[in-house]
Amino acid sequence: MGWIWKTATGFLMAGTVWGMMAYVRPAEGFLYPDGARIIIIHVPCAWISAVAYLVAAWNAGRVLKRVARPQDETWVRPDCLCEASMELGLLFSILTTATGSIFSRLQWGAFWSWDPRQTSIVVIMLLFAAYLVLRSSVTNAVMRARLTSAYAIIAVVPGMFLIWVLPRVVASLHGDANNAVIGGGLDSQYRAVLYGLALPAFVGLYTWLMQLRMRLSMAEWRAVERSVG
Amino acid sequence: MTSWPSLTRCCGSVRTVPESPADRALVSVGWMDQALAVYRKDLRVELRERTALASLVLFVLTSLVVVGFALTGGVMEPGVAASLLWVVMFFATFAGLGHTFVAEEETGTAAGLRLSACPEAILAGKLMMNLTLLAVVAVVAVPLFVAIAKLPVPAVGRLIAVVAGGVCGLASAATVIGALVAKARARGVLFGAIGFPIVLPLLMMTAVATRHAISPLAGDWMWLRDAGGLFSYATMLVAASVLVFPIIWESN
Repeated sequence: MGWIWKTATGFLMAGTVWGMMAYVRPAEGFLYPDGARIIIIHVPCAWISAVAYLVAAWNAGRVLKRVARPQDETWVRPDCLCEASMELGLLFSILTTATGSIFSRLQWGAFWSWDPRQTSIVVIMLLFAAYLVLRSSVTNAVMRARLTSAYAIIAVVPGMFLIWVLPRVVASLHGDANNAVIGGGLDSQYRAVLYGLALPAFVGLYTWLMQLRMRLSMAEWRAVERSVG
Repeated sequence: MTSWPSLTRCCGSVRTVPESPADRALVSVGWMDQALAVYRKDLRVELRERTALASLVLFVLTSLVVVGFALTGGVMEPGVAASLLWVVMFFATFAGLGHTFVAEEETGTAAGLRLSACPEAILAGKLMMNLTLLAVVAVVAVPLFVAIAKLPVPAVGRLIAVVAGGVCGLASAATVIGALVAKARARGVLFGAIGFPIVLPLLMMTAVATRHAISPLAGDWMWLRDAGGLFSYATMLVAASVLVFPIIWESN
């Protein structure tokens, strides 16, 4: 039955592109009204980065709960899920930064201006990267699962702070969109495309990529298991 | 506390059945006593060898000399000065404080420590040790920096409160990250790399808080809000550390 939601994701993604390029009006009040269309891609990428982080942290918790009995190997799946989600988080946060920079150049005149939201996405990007670096520097699988999951849990503290606190307490160029994660100041057409098409499309894309990455990780795990023991 | 290794785990069961009354007295060694014992042990080792403290203070002095040299008589803006001070503190923390756990692994004493005290007590002891080291560094670095950068300090108490908050946050981050890194390869590079995203929000807060503390324009109660934020961040980090430390510590 997997083909149903995958096809739906394809249609929703096509719909997102159509919505972005043809349906929404050029946003009024922006320096380059047509440039604002990039929001339709930029915002879901930022959302998915946060979702990826939450999924990873949740799975890290599951690993820590189960890894007390490493011989059961019930920790392998959540550990792989955590890694996959961190990798996708890195990908989506890079996309967020790139699309954000383009829009920032159009709207605020510079690719980078150390706006609180820009700072927070770049640090979240570093968190994802740091997790993966830590992962690559431990060879033993059980130990790797323990250490990286512990790191993912500790990183919830700055992650929470950067996603939900910092952009709300410091003055930001992101304007109204800053007060809620959702674009409070955008008009209804943008909101319809964002919620109706882009969000489900990106969630579908994320799920699909997770699935593919998981299939690879589990195959790798089985291959290593077989060769070692 | 002469023979402090207790025979119990504070949260687990008795490992060895004590025979003599003296041994039985040890069983009741409480959590706080264990933590203090770890702290005292580390302090004694540090006072004998002075490796961590010497390298930390020397590092800070070198960086401050570089700052002063680059400045050569000029006056720094409070915002720049505050950021610079915390850049120096950050690098000092992540150059020196990893030592506490790495040394245990390198000298092979980690196993002994693991048997002697419960993980939470070890975390608390190491945290106290790192706090002490960093407090000493701050006592040396901050007045020196104020003198070099010719900063006006309208209210010394505010600056002390803010620096104390920053020190607590940095020490609590460095403790748990140090424990993580001690188990991995390529420790030196890794420590800074994985520690940086954890302390970056803290560094941003400390820079702003220090700027407020040395600026006469800030409101009277601004320092309380700033220091409160720093202590809260440190508390959150300690809470997360307590959750995950036993798992890091027990893994081999």
